[in-house]
Amino acid sequence: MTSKHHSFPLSNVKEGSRVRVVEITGGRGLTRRLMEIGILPGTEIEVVKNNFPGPVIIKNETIGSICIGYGMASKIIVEVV
Amino acid sequence: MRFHKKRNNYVEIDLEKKIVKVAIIGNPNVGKSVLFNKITRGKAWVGNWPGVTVEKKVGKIKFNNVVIEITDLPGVYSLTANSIDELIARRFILEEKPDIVIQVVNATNLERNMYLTLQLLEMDTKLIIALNMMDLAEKEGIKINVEGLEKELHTPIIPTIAIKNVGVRELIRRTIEYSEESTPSMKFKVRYDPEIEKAIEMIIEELSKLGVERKLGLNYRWVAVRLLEDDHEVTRILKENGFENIVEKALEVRRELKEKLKTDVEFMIIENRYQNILELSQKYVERSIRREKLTNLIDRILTHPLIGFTVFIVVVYSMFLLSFNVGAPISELVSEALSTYLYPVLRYGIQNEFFSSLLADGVLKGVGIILTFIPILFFLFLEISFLEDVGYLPRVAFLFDRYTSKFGLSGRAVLPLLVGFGCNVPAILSTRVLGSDKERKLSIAIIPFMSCGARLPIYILFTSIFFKGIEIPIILSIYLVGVTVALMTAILFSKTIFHETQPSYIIEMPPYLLPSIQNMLSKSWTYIKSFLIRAGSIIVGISVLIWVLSITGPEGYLGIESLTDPEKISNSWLATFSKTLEPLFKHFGWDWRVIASLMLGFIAKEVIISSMAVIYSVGEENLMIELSNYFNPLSAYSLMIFTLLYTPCMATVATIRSEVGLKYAFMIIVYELMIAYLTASSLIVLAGVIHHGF
Repeated sequence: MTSKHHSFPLSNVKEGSRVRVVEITGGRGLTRRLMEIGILPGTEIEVVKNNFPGPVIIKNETIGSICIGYGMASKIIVEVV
Repeated sequence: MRFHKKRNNYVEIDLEKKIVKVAIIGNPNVGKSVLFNKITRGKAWVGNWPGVTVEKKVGKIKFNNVVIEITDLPGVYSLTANSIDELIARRFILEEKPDIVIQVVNATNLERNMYLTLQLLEMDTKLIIALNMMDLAEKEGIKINVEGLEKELHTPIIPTIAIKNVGVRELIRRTIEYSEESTPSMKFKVRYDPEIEKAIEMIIEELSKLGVERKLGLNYRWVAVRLLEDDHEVTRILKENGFENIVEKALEVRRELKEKLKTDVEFMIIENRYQNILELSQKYVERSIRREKLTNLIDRILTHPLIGFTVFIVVVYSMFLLSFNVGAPISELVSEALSTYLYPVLRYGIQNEFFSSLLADGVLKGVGIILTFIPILFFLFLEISFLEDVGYLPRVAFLFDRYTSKFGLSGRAVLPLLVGFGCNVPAILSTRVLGSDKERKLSIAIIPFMSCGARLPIYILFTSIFFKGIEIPIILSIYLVGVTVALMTAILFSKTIFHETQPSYIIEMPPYLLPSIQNMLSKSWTYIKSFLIRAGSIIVGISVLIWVLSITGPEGYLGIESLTDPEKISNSWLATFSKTLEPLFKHFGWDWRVIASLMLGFIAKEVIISSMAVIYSVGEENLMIELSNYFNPLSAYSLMIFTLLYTPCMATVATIRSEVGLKYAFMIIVYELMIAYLTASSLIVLAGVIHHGF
């Protein structure tokens, strides 16, 4: 939790930035679902589009290109790489 | 090579004895349904999985002297059993025990797809991988060492390009061949953290002492891993079979492991799987960095806040233009042909008047309504399939989600809702493109409030009599009332029945693809077929029922003249029911004739006008004059609002029933009648207050 002030929810990230997942703050089910498609702590992702306060499109080699709803995106805590 | 001798090897050959049961599985957007269609050549039985609205497709093909029965499992990312889809897929594999499981893998996205592969291997399935979209992978600069991966996984991998029919025959051939071979003795094993491995070993030992594998037919290692992942389904199965102890033990082990690892075991297991996958991909996948410039550019345009919406409006507008300008005239031709050629034959060609009227005025009317739907359905579904296959729908979802999520709907629901303005039936069927069961049910509940094309003639007729000069704003206000009621209903339902305020979802953004015409056609045919089979019989049934209620009354049989004679129809059951209901509608200023016409409007909303002509005993051309004697602007407006909101037509109701079940359809009918009555009533009250206020 030391990097708390450098990290923020994915939903607030600017388009075009590269970020690293720090943690997922959702419940067990949500965390599981996100991890299973490759959004794991430590994963680097590119934020392609952000329709704040709406969905976010993210991308990397493992995950491919996906759109995540606002609710989910606000529970993924990331830091800028 | 003998398999390639004849092109048409699928034809009936009676030598067959052997049936190979195959399940086809994969992540969403890997081309699974295209591959399924290519394998089964579009011939499949379509239904729902028991108890849910998830579509089930089963196809049977003959290949040489083997019959392959192939089941299309729902698209899933994992087999954890988080969602209904995952549960269905997993149960099928565990309980039906298919001889072969084919996993369709998207070659451009190998790593994420392999998560499912590892789970399938762990479940001890006899797996074949169809490495699909090889052409796209090549374009994106991805090179996969298929042989190496095949050897390491001990699993056959067949490269395919399903959309171009490349590799499909080889896949079928290999499937049959592999089903005859014994299961490979060597297996790929996911390597977990040493501490977790120790725990797995320990649980396996316990399980083998109890003989769980023999009793339940489940693989030990899989059960052990699932127990560590806190799998409720496996826990339940074990408990039901009297193995509570092992469940308790596993729980203890989990707790100890959490202490040691300082993290949840189930999350560690997921991370370990991905570590295995990354090792594999480092060995067997080569990527030369190549940016997909075109995809990015199109994405930028389609998801742009301004340009994106403009494109969307143009797309939807042209969709409607095509379906209704091309489809509607064909529908009219069909209904013309039925009424001028087939109707007289049935009505006057048969001696027995009762029987001929039953066929002509009851059955044929229902069949006619079904047939007139088909051209419009066909074009709409062709367009929707096109938009889906080309990859446009996820972009629409992204564009609209920000607004729709406030109403408990994801952005994907926008398209079905808009289709509703044309016709509710395809709108309801097209909710199949939505992700979750809840979202489908929610959309289906509000689609009937989208004022469809069949209701427009009624607005036009009444506004031209009572609102001369301001027809367009009045008609627009009616559409607006519909949308407002729909959105309010969405909020109400999502907060009460579905207990969900924000839909949570993940949608893939697939690369843009040129769709295959065959796939589009077969998709639209699937939609139309399910409408014909599942809704068709109900529509004919209701049509006959209304016919019976019109020609019989409390005094018995009235004769079929009742259908055209206002004097006689006023003695029918239909009129009797309407008269009983009259007090309820007194404040609207309606008498039984309006109520009877609205009841007949259940057949199809456009029938309301022609029914009024019969009941008021005037020709349709004189109806305007007649109506101006019976209605005033207020009662006319309330009639239009009532027409907009009340029970959708029988084709819509039948479709709702076939898509989400009788109970839900019934609830929607009751709810919508209530809303129509309350809205129209409050309008009258409000007008009264304003009137007396002045």
